[in-house]
Amino acid sequence: MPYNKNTAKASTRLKISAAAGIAFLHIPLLLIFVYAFTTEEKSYAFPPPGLTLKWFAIAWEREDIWNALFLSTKIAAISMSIAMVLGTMAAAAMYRSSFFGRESISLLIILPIALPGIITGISLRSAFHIADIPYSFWTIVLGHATFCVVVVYNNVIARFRRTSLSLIEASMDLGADGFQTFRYVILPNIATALLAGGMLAFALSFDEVIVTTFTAGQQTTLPIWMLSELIRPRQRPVTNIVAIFVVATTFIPILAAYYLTKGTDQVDGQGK
Amino acid sequence: MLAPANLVSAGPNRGVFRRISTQLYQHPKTFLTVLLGPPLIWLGVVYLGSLLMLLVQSFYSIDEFSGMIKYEFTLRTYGELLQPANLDIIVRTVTMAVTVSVFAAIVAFPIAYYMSRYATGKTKALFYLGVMLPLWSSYLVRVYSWKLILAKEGALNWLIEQVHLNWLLDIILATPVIGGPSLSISYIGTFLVFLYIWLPFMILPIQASLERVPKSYLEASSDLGAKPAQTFRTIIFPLALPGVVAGSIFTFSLTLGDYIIPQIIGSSRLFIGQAVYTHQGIAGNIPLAAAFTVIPIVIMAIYLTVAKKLGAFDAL
Amino acid sequence: MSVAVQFENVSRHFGDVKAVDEVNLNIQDGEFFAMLGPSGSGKTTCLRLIAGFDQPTEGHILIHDVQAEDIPPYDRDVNTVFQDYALFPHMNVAENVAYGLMVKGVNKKQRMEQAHSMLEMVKLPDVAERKPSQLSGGQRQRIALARALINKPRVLLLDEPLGALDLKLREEMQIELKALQRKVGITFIFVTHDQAEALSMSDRVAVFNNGKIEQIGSPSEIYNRPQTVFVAGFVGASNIITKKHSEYVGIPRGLYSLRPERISLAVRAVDTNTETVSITGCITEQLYHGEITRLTVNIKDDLNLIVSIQNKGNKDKSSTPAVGNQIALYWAKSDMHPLTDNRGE
Repeated sequence: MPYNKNTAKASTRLKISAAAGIAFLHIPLLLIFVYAFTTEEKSYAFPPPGLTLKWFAIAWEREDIWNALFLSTKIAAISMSIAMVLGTMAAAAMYRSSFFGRESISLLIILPIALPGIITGISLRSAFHIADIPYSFWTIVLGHATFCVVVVYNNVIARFRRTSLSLIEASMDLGADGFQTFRYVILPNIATALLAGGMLAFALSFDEVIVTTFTAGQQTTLPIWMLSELIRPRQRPVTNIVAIFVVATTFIPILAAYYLTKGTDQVDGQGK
Repeated sequence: MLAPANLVSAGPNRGVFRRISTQLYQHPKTFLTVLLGPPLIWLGVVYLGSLLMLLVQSFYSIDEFSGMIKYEFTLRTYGELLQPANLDIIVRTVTMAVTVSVFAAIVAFPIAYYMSRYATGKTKALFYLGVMLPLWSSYLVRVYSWKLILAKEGALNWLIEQVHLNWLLDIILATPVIGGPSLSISYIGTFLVFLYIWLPFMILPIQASLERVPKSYLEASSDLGAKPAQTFRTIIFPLALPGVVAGSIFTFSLTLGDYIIPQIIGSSRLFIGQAVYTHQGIAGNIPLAAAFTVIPIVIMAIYLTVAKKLGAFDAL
Repeated sequence: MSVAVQFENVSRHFGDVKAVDEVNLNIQDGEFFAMLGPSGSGKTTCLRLIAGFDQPTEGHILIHDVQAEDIPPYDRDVNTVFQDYALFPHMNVAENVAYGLMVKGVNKKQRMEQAHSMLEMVKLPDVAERKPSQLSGGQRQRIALARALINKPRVLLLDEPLGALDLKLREEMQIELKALQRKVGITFIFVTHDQAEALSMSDRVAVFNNGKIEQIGSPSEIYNRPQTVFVAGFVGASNIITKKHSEYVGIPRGLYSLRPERISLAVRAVDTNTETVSITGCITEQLYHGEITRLTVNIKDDLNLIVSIQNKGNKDKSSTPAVGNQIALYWAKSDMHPLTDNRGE
């Protein structure tokens, strides 16, 4: 691929390839917005024969959607909180100290996202089965927090690495004990990275489906509701509404995470 | 020395905190244990424990008559993996993972290159968000969008009809192996969705590694007489390679384990993920499901070792 | 005078690396003490051991006669000025300076008053509301000083505090630091790799090399009577006359250092006698330095002597001897200092 690298301007070919790639990533999402307004009920006919807003009202009335939404939000919030605590602790322990087994621990933290989600899912499911743990809200949280830890960890440790160790030493030197140093120096310096990690963990948990199918039992989170609609569509336009709602809800924390870490460090994108 | 006692009062509980803090200072190992303990217990016991128990079960087998698990060590289940039908599944999945990774790298490179070399300020932020948003936004919704696109009455067929390329589509669909009755019931469909879903995972590491190539290298190269194409081949590409490998860790691993995409878009032939799902679910054959999960684990272990040697971890 | 900081056989190992190797040291109360050495010589590690950021692998550190190993930094009566200043980026200057008082629980009004008087002391009364990022390097340095001194420590540690400043500012700050130390009257322990800085500012200097102290003494002792080859070479320029060379020069066999400015030029060689060494050689190099000119004179084989001559009055560079000329040199025997050889010959 001979691009024109050394000149200040990109070649047309490069520009077109880059723009086409980005378009490829976004056009499918835009299409869903169009479908949310279609009057066609039985098929995915394109272009839509007519446009209507009635599906929003119908979706609004659906109790099952609301329940799934509440469940997903609750799970995401709690998984995020657990991940923020555990991820920060792990990052604080790992970012500077060297000890025997450090490499293995960093591998262990990354493993839940390095291995396919289905492995996490089936492992947990069979463990619940062996330990005779009934499926509940908490079995879902257990799975979600496991792969959310790494997201927070990545963001926080990146910030730790960018924060001079001498700030912490200066604080202790000036008379602050460990807790005061955490409260007055460490926390203010990692706050945005921590929050960004938390936001991403929330987004990740909110629409996770692969692990959830194994740990949910009979409970229906929003993604599980969607999955069942995908496999056996009942009311297609309502699914479209839920789809754009899910996209919109996850965009907010992602954008928040981006602006929180803007200029300092890039959000660790490889966290899924 | 200034004893804590002659400090100005620092609140009622300060003394306790200070004592704990001092204890931790005097015992740095304890401090490390306190910090690492909770995350390690969570990941080590909950996650790793479950994973190991699963692996242990792959050495059990299922009794053909009762359908119950026999808790005796055996390699029979692994033997079952070698049955033609199961080997087919493995080959199919790995082929798909390789194809997806290669194409993802090809599509991702120009985007990453443009982002790191030419885009500045607002354009760069826009590109960055343009990659980040799909990466983190709902997986299911993004798969769903392709169900809409690839449907017979959907957007892609409509577009093809508008530009009168039906004949081309027919030729592609008539191609053995990759074709099928329609795009949404063919390997091409499955491939397109995989590519679409995992593409951002490839763009970001490549961009990160290109970002780290100092401009002066390129200037030095052209100063020494290399043509742009030579600079690309000899400087840029080798330095971006760890990023490509890092990205492929994701595209490869995610494709190996996915069971939802081929279930929704694709022919009815199974992938590893679906096999795992089916065996553990309806069939209740946990040992075989567990043995199936060992394949992606082994492949990824080899892959990660090689990747680490190539320096791909620095590009993560 | 009592002892402010005492090292008893202190070692700090990082794996196989002996960053600090059996160091013994007494720093007196009220002293301006410099730790001088190249990077990696162990001087900064020693400073960190005193502050409590690091622990000795072996040996003990006493701060005002109290064994310090188990005492965390926040309970040590020692404060530090960091090399990168380590000003908290999320706090303004006044909050930075008042930090030590805040964590002690001093109320806001009092600590702000004290912070302002500290800012006046470092001659920056107007920057209280600014963020550290809005300050120049020299200003940051002063704020770091004010912040470290507000706790009224008995020992102040300074880790290459002037390293990041440009030459002019550095010279100004040297004078100010010295004045400040006289004013507050506490012990200053100063780490630097700049020998001129160490000589001009401190009461005593410890020269570090490879984790060990090569020599401790007053600046003039260190400069005029270096004891080891390393000190002779690191502090100022020196001619090292080896055992082999001492025969060429006609002096008792030994290892000596000889400062370039102690060598004088003569029109013709005089005889070596009991007080003076005289010798001839050929000028192989001439470097003009402004106030001095440095000549390299080859005496014999690999014996080259560096000679520096003051450029007094004669504006014309050509009045100094040129490369290729034969020249006669002489110096007083008392200017040669026997060295212990710890590097082999």
